[in-house]
Amino acid sequence: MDILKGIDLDIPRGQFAAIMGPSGSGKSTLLGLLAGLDSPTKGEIQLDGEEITSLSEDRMALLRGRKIGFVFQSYHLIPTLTAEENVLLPMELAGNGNGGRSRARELLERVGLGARRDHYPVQLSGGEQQRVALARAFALHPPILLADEPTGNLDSATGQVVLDLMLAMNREQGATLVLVTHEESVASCADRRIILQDGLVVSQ
Amino acid sequence: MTPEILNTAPPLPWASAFRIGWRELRAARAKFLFVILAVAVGVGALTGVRGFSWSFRRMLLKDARTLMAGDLSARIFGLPAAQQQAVLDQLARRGVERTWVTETVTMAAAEHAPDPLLISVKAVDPRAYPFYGEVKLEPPGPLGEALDSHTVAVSNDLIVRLGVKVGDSLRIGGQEFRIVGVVASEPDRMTGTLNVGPRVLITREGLDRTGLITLGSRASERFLFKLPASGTPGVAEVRAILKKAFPEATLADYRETHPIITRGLDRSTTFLSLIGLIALVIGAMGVASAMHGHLQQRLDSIAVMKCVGGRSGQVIRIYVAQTLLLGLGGGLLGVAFGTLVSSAFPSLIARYYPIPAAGGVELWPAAQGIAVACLVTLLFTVPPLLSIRSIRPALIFRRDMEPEAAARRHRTLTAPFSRESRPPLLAGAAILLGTGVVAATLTDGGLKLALRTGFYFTLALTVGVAALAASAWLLLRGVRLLSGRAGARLPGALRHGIANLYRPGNQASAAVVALGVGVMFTLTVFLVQGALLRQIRASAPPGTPNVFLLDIPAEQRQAIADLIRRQDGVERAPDVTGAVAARITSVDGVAIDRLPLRDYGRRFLRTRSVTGLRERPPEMEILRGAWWKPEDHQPLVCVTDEAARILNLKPGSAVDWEIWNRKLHTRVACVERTESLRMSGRFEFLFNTGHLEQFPAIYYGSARVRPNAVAPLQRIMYQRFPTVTVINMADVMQTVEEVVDRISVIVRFISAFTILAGAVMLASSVAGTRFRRMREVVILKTLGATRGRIAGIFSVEFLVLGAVAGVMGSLLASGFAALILRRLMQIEFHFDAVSNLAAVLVAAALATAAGWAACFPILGRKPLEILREE
Repeated sequence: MDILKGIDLDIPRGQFAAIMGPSGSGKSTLLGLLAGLDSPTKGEIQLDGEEITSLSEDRMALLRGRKIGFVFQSYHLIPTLTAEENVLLPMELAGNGNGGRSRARELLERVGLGARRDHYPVQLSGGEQQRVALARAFALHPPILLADEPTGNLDSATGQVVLDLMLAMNREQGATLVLVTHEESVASCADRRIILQDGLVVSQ
Repeated sequence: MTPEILNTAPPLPWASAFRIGWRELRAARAKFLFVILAVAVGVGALTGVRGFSWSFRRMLLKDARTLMAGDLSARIFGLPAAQQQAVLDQLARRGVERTWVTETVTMAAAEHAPDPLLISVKAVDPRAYPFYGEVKLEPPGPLGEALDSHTVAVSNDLIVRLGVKVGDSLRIGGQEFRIVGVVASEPDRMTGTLNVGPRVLITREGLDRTGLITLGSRASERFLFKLPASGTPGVAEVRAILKKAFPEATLADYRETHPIITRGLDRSTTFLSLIGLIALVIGAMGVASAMHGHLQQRLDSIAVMKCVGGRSGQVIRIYVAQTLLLGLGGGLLGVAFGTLVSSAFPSLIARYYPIPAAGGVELWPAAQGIAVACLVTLLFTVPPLLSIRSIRPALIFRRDMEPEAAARRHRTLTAPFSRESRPPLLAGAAILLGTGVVAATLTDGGLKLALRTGFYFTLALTVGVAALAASAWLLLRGVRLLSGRAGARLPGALRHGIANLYRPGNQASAAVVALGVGVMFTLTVFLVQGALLRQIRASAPPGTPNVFLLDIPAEQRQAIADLIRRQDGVERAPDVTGAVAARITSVDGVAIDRLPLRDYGRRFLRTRSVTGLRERPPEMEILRGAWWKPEDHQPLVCVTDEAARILNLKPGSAVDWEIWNRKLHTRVACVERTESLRMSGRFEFLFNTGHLEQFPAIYYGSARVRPNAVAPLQRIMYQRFPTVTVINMADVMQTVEEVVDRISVIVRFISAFTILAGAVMLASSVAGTRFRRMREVVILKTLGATRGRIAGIFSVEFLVLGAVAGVMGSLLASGFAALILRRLMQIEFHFDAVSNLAAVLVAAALATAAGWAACFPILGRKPLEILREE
């Protein structure tokens, strides 16, 4: 089954692009392809000027670690690690665990959770978990941030706080932001809207 | 093209891997405690069993040394020559102590006694003798203080027969000796020369004073040796030195004091090492199922790690580190537990007999236990660790949208042996090989033995696992067919429970294999120990004779039997056997004096006592040939294996006899071995009936008497039948029976321990599927199933699983038990239907109970709570 059919898309550096579309239109698949979490059956994907379609799983993981920050709809924090350790993890995997601790604390301060750095995910509310996920996403100063319905599991007030925080941090870091969303209010903040339907870009 | 960052990517340092792995452990203590406990029980069983085996062996060897009163005994014919003396002195300089024991037969008289009495004199050095055990005197006192050149200690039958008492004087070889005490027990009574008369213990100086020993007199000379505690020179080395210096001497060491003890020791050692290995597998199974369950719950974390830049190698490294930490934790705890149990061991069995507690933790076995724990944990985690590679980060990313992707992801990790986990076949081979290597390492003895053990062990495990996997596959097929045919007619819970077995994602086959392996090993232990105990018990059954009557005239047979039967303390009626004096003239046509007979073998030149028997005594084991049938009328003999070895006899060999000046031609029908102490065991040649009855016979009797009733029996026997000699073996038999009891208690204890560990493992392997149950409960509840209904469904599923695992496991266990008993222990095996049935029932009940215990806490919870925890 073809999920995406012939998409030709170019997102310039520093842009905030919102991907919208009904369920099953291929939004998350597109995001997954951009992140190198999956490879297309046909076509080519370039990330920050590099061709990624032919990279092995491990090389892709390495590239992801350096270039992409992730925010998921259901946060996906590691339940057995504290807030600070979750933020520390990408830095440790990238080999700079030692200097990472102060960076992790700095980021948690930035998302307003400095006091809760020793809490485990189960001890945090949904909004707090998503803020930890934000801190984790920015840990390695990625040039690209990919977000999959980051406010989808949150009530609108909390969602707004998280969204504002994400946009502010994105501006500070000067990263490219690609965000999948259902919500018009979220999309309205974007520089550009890409609307998918049945695997095709119908508007951008 | 390769992005430049890939070339500069540093590998994850082990320190970081351990740190990240450690963090996870710390966070979910309760969950990991279970894994650690599983490892600990396994390692504890292993080190505990090894600990017991050590104490047990030490204890048995100590008993064995007591029965010899030394480590080594050399019976020599004639005093040592100068060269031989030099060898003995050389050994003494190396710390080998020795003492000289002389036994001879002479007459003794007392002032008031009408007749002199034939006595068995034993001259010892009371300062050195005995090296082990103790000569108990009445009145109590050390032998060294009681005996001097003018005193003797005598056995009770001498007191009875001569009508003397302690303090009286005894005349031996024309010299007067004062009786200082009654010998109540003498450790090496059994290994000495057969004592025909009452015992008189005397010092070397005292014996010299009698002038009984002159050149050429018929005395038995024996050296007893005690080896240095340091262990060098060892028993084998000293034995070899002595064999070279005294080629004609009869050497024996503590390992061969008595056939019952030697065989008991051999068999129980084999059994204990077997148990050690089984404890290892049971422990490893626990580790495997715990680690498998653990990694299954880490799937999401692994996918997230990959999303944030973790490479497979890095993630594997983190989980290898974590596995090692778990193995180490379990190993430490297990070793502590094992040490605790083995040091508590003496007090656990203190009710049966006292042994000194082993001192502290023994470092080498402890280190070995921990290393084994880490290695086994790692080995059994190889398949799930390898499958980390196939976890794709995209799957978690998409989970919210694509449920089938999630299902696929859950199938990527399956149990080590399941059909679906084809890629880890190689890993499975690695596990088997690794376990084989561990088994070989744990085997005491040479490299060859270790390799063989490792090989057989791996083979048994492979066969067991393959058979179980095949039967699980067949079961699932069968169940599917059945429910397809009769599906709609079955009650709901039954239908769902059965359907649960073959539903995708169910690990029924893995569970059957795990449970079945557990049942297989546990029941094997049970069956082997049962047969071993029966065998050991049969070698010294309760009521084994401990009093022997020699030289009973034919006409007094009945009167003596009646007299004994009426005495107090007689536990078993006397058993009287007639013996005929017979001499071998030729073997297979070769005259007996032309055969190369040496030392003790020369006894076959003289007249031997032989007897006739119709039925095979139950405790007799036929090694070769067959016992005769009533219709065999030609003269047949059955010989002991020792006589067969010396005379080179096998079934069919011709033996010619001269009995009371008549010739008798016989054929050897069988070669036998009798380990128990019976009259029939004391004859080297048994004839079939119908050939010896025509000759005059002398009768021998044996009876079981309470030790404290032996003296009165001796007294009355002497008064009524003065020509009959009564030999009191009560103290020796008591020692032998004690040893046999010890072996039984330990074997039972260690088996029970292993079986318990096995049961815990069985329960935990079912409980390990708890994670999967959670999802099922949620789904079923969401679909509107009541708690009772879910419980019913699970019960059916667990019952079927447990029963199938039980049937397969118990069949395999019977096979392995038969193999072990026949090949390793030379014990007959009989299929035990009751135990097999019980094993099936227990497996089914255990699976249900454990499944229940695992599911019960989930049943009461709200679906959303569990979903949120995921």
